[in-house]
Amino acid sequence: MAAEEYKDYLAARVLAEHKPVTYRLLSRALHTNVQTARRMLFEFHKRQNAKKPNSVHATYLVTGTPRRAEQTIDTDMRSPPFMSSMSEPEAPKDSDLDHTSESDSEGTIVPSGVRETEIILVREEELEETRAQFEGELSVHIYSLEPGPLEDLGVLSACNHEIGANRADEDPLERWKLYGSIRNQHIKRRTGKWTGPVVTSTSKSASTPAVTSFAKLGAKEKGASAPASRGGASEDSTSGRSTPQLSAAPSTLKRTDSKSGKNKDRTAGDIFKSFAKAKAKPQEADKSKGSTPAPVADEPMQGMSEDEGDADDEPEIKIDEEKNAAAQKARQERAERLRKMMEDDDEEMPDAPAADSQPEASPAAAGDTPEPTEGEATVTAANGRRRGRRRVMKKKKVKDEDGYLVTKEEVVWESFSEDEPAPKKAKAAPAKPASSVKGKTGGKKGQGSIASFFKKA
Amino acid sequence: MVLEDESGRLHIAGLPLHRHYVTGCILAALGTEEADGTFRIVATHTAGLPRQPLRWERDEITLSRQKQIAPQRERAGKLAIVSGLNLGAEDGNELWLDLLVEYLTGEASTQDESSKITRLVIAGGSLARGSPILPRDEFEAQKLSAEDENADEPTWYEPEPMACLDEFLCDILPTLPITMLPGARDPTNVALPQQPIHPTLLPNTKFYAEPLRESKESLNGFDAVTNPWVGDIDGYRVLGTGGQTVTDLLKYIKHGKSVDAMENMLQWRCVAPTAPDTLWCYPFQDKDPLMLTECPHIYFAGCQKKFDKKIIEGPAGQKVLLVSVPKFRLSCEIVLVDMESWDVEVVKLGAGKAGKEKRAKVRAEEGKELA
Repeated sequence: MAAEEYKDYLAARVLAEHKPVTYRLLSRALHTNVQTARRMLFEFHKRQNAKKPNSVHATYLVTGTPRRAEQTIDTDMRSPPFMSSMSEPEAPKDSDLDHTSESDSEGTIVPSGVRETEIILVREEELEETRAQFEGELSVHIYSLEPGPLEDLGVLSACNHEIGANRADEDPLERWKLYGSIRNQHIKRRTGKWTGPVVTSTSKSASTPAVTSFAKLGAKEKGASAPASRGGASEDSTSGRSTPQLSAAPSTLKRTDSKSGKNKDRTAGDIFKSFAKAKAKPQEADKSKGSTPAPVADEPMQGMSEDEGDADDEPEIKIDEEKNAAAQKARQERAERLRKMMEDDDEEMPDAPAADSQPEASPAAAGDTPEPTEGEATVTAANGRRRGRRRVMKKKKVKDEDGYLVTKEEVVWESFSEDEPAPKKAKAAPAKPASSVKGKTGGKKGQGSIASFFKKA
Repeated sequence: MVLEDESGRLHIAGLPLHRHYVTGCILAALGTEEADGTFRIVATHTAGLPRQPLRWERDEITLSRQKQIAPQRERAGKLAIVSGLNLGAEDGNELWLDLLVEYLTGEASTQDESSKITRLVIAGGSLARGSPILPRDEFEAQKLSAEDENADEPTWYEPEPMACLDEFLCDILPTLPITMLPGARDPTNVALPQQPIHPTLLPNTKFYAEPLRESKESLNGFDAVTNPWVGDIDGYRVLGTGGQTVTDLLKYIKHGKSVDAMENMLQWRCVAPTAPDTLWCYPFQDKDPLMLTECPHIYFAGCQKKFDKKIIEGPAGQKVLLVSVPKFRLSCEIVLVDMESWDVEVVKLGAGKAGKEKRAKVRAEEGKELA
């Protein structure tokens, strides 16, 4: 793939521009797997130096276990001198367990059966020397090509920075496919802004297809990476174990957290549950309102008809028409009442305590307007007859001695019974007076269905 | 030297306690009261390791509450711990960071090795100077320089290191879940316990964060956690700190080793014994969250001088793996903990001669800073 393209790119960059190229930069630039990119680097290096010795210089990444006897590297990397006495752990492992609570045990040698791996970046010339310091499994990969020996390896980091500049547009979760890095199956990335549950739900739905497609691609990747694995590009890897891709494909699948799948479901469930709850609430509100025998004329007796279920099973369509008209009217009424309530509240609230202090004001003067307001009712329905007690808020308006109008609210339990099995008309009828005397009752009643109030707006 | 409890203080004599204890330890002392009111100690005892939960305990409990059977759990992988990335330090050499990213994402070379890693833990010290309050030495240096120049240097905010950290995390996150603890110089509160680094500071990384859950099992995406942190990784209870507690305790001790200090903390059942004394700490009124009530399985401390590990066993069969994690900027070491066998490995990133010289220079600077 892109057989000539990479040569052009490398020639332009290394030979003409005299800039270093790392395998990562090459893979990003050409959108190829990093293994392929390494192979390209290697071939380019070989060919160019065959043409003209020392025209291209290479840096290698050596991975392996350092030889324990070789202390030079280690001591060099250890921090301050007083620690150097315990540079390389060699003591038997048993003393792991012999713990004393002496915190000032004088710098004994640290026991640790610790496997050590070093990943070292070396210049071409140091390669052989470095390899001698390692034992056992060793792999050497080409890291970068540059026009001449690098004085400061930090240049390569600047080179890697170029990657950052031109990858902004790609999806980081898709990167593994192209470049062959390890992938975490459970990672999710939210897109868009973080504004609340609504967004999380959308992002969730966005991510699920992604996840499933990952699952599919997991299989695909195996096939895709297989050819790449042959070109493992690990130039003269002495151990012969560096065909990372083959093992990588299954091992990426290993990266799992047993519970994550479940968690996903759980969180999703929560979101939906919360939505469901929100939806259920207005219904409940309606229901509770419906069960009071003095509802507004809209959505008549959702609760009732459920309770009784007999005698008034009318065709649904009819109800709906009725409902629509009624609902619209009711909504207007309710809006009106709400507005009134706002105004009334302002006036009446300060008076309320005064009313308590003078409960025996002359009732006749103000013209009592006892109004049943909201209430919870205990309803027993037997033989189609409804009987029960309900708690009603009654408002009493009285004129006190000073001539002020005082409104009192009293909770009154009143019993009610209906001879008929609660037909709609009968229910609507008591509503009429309640709604005709608007203003006072509205506040309480309107609250239950405030959601439907907003629906209109 | 005094003993103190909620009722009062008692001067003590007898055993030289300072050889075994630092200030803030919890202990039982056996002794007698002398004529002058001092308390002569004959013997002391610590609380010892608390109860250690079973592996997957928290998980099992929630599962059994929900009446579910425990799922078949896969073999846990390895936990990679780094600390002290010190982004924004002067040397500006990000090559090791690049190598770290390449190693963890499996691009470097050894994909078979790095694919076993299932989580990266950043144990504090991500930024070189991200703290809202300057450390004391720097503060004094700044004060001196301010006196010299007779001008108040306004505190400025450098966004680059944070952006750099953001990029670093974003590079790794598609490959690995990350748990990040704040450290001494990270942009969060200074007093222990430190709050997680706020997601808005990491504008790209935050999209990988999963919504918070009740359980203490580590999240799958980006998981910013508190500084002394207790959580579950692969069912094990893990206690981690950004290293301030251990470093501060070691100031009281000559030739102390981090793992020994950590072991003692577990014996004393106190994560930060020196906390209100020489370490900043939030004054809790009713309960002390720095108290250990359950013994962790793995206890790591970041930003230590060097790598070390130790396995201690308690009288009730507790077994704890202690790991002190060196600063990455100095040692370029990544600590790998196999979550099944508890084998600890070190991966050292390095360079040939050119890199070594550079490193020596960095370390010399750091040494100066410490001195």
